Amino acid sequence: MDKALELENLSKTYKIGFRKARRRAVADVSLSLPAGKVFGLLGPNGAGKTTTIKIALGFLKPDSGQVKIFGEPNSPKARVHVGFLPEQPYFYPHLNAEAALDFYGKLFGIKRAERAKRAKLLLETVGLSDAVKLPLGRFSKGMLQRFGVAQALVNNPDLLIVDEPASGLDPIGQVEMRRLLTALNAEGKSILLSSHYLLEVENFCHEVAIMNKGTVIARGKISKLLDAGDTYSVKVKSLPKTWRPVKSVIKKGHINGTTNLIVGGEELDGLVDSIRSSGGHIEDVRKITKTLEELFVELVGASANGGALGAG
Amino acid sequence: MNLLAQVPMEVLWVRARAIAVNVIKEAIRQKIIYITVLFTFLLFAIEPMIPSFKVGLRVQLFGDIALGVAYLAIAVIAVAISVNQVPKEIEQRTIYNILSKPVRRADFLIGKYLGILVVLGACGVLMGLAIFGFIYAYFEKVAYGIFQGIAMMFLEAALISAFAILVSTLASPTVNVFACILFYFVGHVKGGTLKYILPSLENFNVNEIVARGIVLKANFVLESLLYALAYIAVFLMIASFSLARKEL
Repeated sequence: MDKALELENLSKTYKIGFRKARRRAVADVSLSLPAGKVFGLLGPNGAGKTTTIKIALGFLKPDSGQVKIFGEPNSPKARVHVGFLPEQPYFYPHLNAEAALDFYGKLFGIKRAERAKRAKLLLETVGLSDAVKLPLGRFSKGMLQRFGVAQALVNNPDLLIVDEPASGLDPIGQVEMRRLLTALNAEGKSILLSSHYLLEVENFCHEVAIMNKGTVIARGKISKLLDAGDTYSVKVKSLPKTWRPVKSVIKKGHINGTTNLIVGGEELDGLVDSIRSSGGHIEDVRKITKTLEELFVELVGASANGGALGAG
Repeated sequence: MNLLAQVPMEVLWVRARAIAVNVIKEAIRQKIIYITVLFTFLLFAIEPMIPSFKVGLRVQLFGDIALGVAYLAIAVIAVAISVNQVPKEIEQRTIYNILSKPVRRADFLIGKYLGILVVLGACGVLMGLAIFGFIYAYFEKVAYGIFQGIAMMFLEAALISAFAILVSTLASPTVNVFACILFYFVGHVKGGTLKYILPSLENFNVNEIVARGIVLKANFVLESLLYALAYIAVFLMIASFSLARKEL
């Protein structure tokens, strides 16, 4: 199966208040997560990311559209292959980590011996081997988040859906979470990651969809979305004072003896030749891309005026 | 696809049992159950000290009053452990960790209900044993008939609990408590329009009869059982329908 998750034209409105006024939560959202890839769902608070995930998992019924998990229509049976880490997860406080994992394992119909083996392995993986017998009610926020990952993996899922996994974690916890998710993806698991931590998404996802006000305003491979056009940055050490910038140089800056020149692709060869002939030493030449943050701000701002972008 | 042993979806029992066991584990930590049971035992203990017990049909009177107290206590426990089962899961978002797995909403409800039944059954047996023990200790009589009364009150509590589960899918726990109180009183009142819709709980009140040592007829017990099961099935089906439509 080449698609782990397909969301087709999902729309959902909520009825709010006494008069049951309708508020659009998501409109015509279509996403496709290729098997084995990491797909990032980005957007500001209230963009519709969590609603989309809730529909994907069957917590909410869409007004229209459909969800397919590994090609099967969404149903409890299809969720045998799914692991889910909710945003700021909460668990039964009276159960200890081992008993809770055993409970979640039972919900998948996993046999007792397998459950025990799996619980041990998962608690080790998420660094909770020392807290096996500690009731979850006494776990810190970070520990709960790590336990959340363990419970999401109890069935060794092929598709992992994680909603704001870094939420509530300290910087070290965030790095550990990213490492863990990277390792899981390396094992072949498909991951749908909802986040507003842009760094998390930029360094980790193969594809992203950016949502705002319930719609997808951009989607595609990160490299293509961040492509700023045919523009290059050239770093030069010891650029002679006699060197005069060629006409095509867009921008020039100096930091600690290094000159940074920005130039269009068509003029790059000419610029490099000019620097070399003047005796300057070229340290680095690279294609300029936007940061995800820049793209995000640009798109979310632009989406107020309507319009959607696509790439890849 | 993963290699873990998967039980087919048709095997409802596995998932429902896991949820039921969790309800029991949670109930063990609920103080209200212990307080109600202890308070009931205390009433049993002081009952024979009431002056009226000095005369007449002491065993019958004790049995009747003790069963009456147990009757009320088990109804209180049924309401206390049922009204919050579903709303608490939704409010604390623990339901997401269950329904994101291959669990149908109906499995979830049935599991919850089965767990409640086990807790109610355990409370009923404890109270039955306590009444039996007190009768034996105070009056040196062996009153097996007490357990018939306990069995009938278990059926009533099971009905109340199914009603509470149904209301819990529609309303807040506070509204649910009031609905259950209304359900209890309407069920015990002879007359009124609601009694044609709601079950007559008075059918399960056999305290006076069993306290006199009369053995209940098998037909009556079977009819009561079927009567309770029919209402429970209807309540749980509506609850299941209501939860299936609920936006989580």
